[in-house]
Amino acid sequence: MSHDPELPPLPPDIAALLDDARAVPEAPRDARRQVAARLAATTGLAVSAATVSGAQAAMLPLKVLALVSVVSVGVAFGVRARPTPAPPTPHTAVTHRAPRLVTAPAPVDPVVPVAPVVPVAPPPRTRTVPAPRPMEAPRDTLVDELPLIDDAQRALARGDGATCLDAVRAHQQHFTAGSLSPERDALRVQCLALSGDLRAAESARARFHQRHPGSVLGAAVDRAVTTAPR
Amino acid sequence: MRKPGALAQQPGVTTHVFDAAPSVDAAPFDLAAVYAREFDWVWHSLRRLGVAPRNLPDVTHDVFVVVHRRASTWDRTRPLRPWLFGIAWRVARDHLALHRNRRESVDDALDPPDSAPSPDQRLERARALDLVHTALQTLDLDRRAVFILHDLDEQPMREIADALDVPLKTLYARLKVAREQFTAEVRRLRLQRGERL
Repeated sequence: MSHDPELPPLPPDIAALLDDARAVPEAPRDARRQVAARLAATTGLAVSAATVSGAQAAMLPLKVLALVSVVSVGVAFGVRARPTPAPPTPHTAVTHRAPRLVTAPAPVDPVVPVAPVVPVAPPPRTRTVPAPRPMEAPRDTLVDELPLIDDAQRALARGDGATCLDAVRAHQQHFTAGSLSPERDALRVQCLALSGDLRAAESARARFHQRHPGSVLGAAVDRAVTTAPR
Repeated sequence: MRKPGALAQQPGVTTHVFDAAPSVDAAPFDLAAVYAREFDWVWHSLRRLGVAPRNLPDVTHDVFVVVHRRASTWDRTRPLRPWLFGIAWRVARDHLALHRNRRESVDDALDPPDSAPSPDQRLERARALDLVHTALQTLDLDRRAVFILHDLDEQPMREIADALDVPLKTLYARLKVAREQFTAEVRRLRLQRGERL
């Protein structure tokens, strides 16, 4: 240990103990994967299990914050982008969408050639919800949960409260206690506030704080209700 | 003007992460690479700061959300870890204040030993870790932070002062008291456990 001249040396037994405790043990792999998936959902950044396994991360192309910021979270943004009487024009969020490295679970038929898809039209309002799966292992459901949360965030960002609520309800139905349930419950409040259903938004906000005390999403949830037009 | 590398001194830093759009720096901040490289260290630092194992996934997630939002405040000429620790410390402080779970049971504090060393070494190491964790929990969080960063992570005091946004003299005073308290607690625990001093 480097010695700071302004500090007296530690007693030998304490210095030896600290030497023993200095190494950083590896965190549980499941936790690393789970946090990565939640982080991807929260920030819109492509931080997935695949990108965080040791040396592979160094091979990743740099991710430009300007690109992902357009679709990151969409919490405050979504609420501010309240729909005007005229229907909103197709939003840049469609074309600026951050790459999602966590892939959807639905297998792609290897026989059918898959052409690169350029998103020229708004995404369909309905989506096929993955079949319900057992909830015993959170990491098994994360990839299934993410598309629904993504849908809700995109709908919120473009001011589409109805679609946002559809995605939130679908997530609730299939992943009641899913790993992304804090994000879902926060989105529910924001969607309800966006839709003008303030009584339901207030109620959902109270439930959110009850279920997720101290959540980092709490401030955004509060803001969604307090800044909603009365 | 804020010092480079220093974080905003606001108690609710974790609750403001969505307030502003992330600022765009000249060079991109590669969150994925930082996550890959520093996840274990952040996780373990939060444990040392007193976050219970059951809460580590949530709190670690919150730390990286703040890292993402605050990426532009990192001074690239300075080491990353003190800056990361500054964020982890603030997030942990808010978490602990909210949950009022500064103290944990011994069972909670004991981390699973890693698998590489022999059983005797694992046991020895688990005991050392447990002892350090338990003694750390008796320190005030501010003192704990400087003790962890300096005496366990071996960061220079000047970097710690910058990362925690605390005057250098104050830090030295905190570390001095932290060392005395930690030493006394370790020896008390060893006596209690029937270990030799």
